[in-house]
Amino acid sequence: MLSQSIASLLCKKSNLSYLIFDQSFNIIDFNEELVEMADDKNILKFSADAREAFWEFIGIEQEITKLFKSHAQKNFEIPMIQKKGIFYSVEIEIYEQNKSKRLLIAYFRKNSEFSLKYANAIQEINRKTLIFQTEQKELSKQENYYKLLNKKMLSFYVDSDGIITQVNDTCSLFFLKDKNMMIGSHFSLFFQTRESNIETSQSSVMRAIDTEGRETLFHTNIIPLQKDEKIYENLIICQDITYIKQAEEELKFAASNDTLTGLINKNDFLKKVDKLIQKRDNETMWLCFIDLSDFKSINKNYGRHAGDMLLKHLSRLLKSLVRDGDIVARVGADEFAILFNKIKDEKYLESTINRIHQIKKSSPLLYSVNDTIVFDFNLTYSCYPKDADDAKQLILETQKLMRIKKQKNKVSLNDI
Amino acid sequence: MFAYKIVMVGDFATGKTSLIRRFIDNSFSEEYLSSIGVSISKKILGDSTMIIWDIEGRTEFKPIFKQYLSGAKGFIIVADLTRKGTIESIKDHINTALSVVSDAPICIALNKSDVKSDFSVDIEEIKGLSTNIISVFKTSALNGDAVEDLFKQLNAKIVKDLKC
Repeated sequence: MLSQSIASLLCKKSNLSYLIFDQSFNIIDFNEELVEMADDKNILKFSADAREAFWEFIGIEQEITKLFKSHAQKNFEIPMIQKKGIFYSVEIEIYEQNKSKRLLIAYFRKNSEFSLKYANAIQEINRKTLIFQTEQKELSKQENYYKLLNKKMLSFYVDSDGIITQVNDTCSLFFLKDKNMMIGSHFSLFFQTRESNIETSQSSVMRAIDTEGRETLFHTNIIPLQKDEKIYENLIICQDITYIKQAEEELKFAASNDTLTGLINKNDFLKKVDKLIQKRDNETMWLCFIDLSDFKSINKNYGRHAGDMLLKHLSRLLKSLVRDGDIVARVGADEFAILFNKIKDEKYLESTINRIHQIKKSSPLLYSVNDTIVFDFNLTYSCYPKDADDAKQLILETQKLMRIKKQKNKVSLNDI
Repeated sequence: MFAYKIVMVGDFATGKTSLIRRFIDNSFSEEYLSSIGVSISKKILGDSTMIIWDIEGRTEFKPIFKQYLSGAKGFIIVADLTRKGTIESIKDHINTALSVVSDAPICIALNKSDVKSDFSVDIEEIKGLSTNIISVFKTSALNGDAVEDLFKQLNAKIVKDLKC
């Protein structure tokens, strides 16, 4: 589950809370930050009905069914929900914990400061428009609206063909271009979007590169401006969501990688090995299993930070000793695995294993001026297809050899 | 007990939020602060729970966001008896609501009945705008006139339909 990984920290950092639930709305998991968004905190419990804790879920049953049935629809969003003085959006999508079970995950994202300023601007516009309307005064509403729009929000107008007709100062500043240079151009010269046309009453994600070459992602609100029941212009308001997209990337990375060492984790390692086995072309591969000895006492004697540094140190060393095509993974708290793919010459394997053994003596961790941490490990290896038929069995076989080896070491120590 | 969703729809500053406040906690504020996005309230009515979506009112520049209407079991369309434009918008709002949920019952609230208006409204004409309209009320969030009836009548219709 997400809560057991670094994902909950990333969610916190990115103002994201999450709720995992099944098709019957039974709560499976959520993070701590979600509690403040619940309408009823006492109901927010595992197995409870999500609709009782979050009233916005009442009435979305059909949308959820659509998500399960449709491959085209990837998510469902409820934007700008105001609760307890904050604005947030909920995005719900399918969450596959494993292939056998499809669940739903709702991301609750607090809206940025820009959204709040935008809301204040709209409120001010509406207040003034109401005064004008009740006083029966003529008003060039469009002009007033434009002036009152939050100046920090990047916005521009396009006509029905996508040609820019107006840009605000923020937009002109973002691209460091004079407004007149932008007006008359097609918006796609500045913003890349999946949709070729800007359709009315919709939102979209656009990508733009600023003058320093940085990529920025914008969530855009596309507001049709009507005249005589005919749409003649669209106002596009852009909100920077780069940080949210980055967080999503980090979440994806966290799901398949060990965030301490940067190596892939056990699940991803198994998948990769399975894939290689499926497309094997009669070449052997070797799985090497490395188990750090007495790691607990390193943590105990030097502290957890030293333990973490040792894991990073060892992972760097292992990566430096293998070929580019070989795969190094962290498969347990103090366990590493290396897959040597397409071994044509067993001498290579032998010499690499020897070099790995040598790092115990040649490369202790220089933790601080006073602390040099010497480490030791056990190493076993087995061969596909000689010792196993699939990835799981190959790992089990190598682990079995490791247990035998450790048992032998124990016996010989007792002998001494 | 079952819970269902209704949505308040209308032009901006017609009094949607004030009607909800009057109905939920019997309060009223003179200050006008337009709603942005959506606020969701809950009211228990006998053996049913009404979840009320108070969505941002339509302005000349911002249409109603249809995603908010999805899954509603009923709509209350609110107009301001003192602003003719908001009465003329009722037809548009009905079309928008029914384009998302075609069989939902609709109540019309002609709000601010406590304020003197310089034009008259033909209730029968409004009723005739759609067969989904079950009632038209002249309401006042300020003094509470017809507010309870508005919500309770819509609740009764929804409960009846769900039991059928």
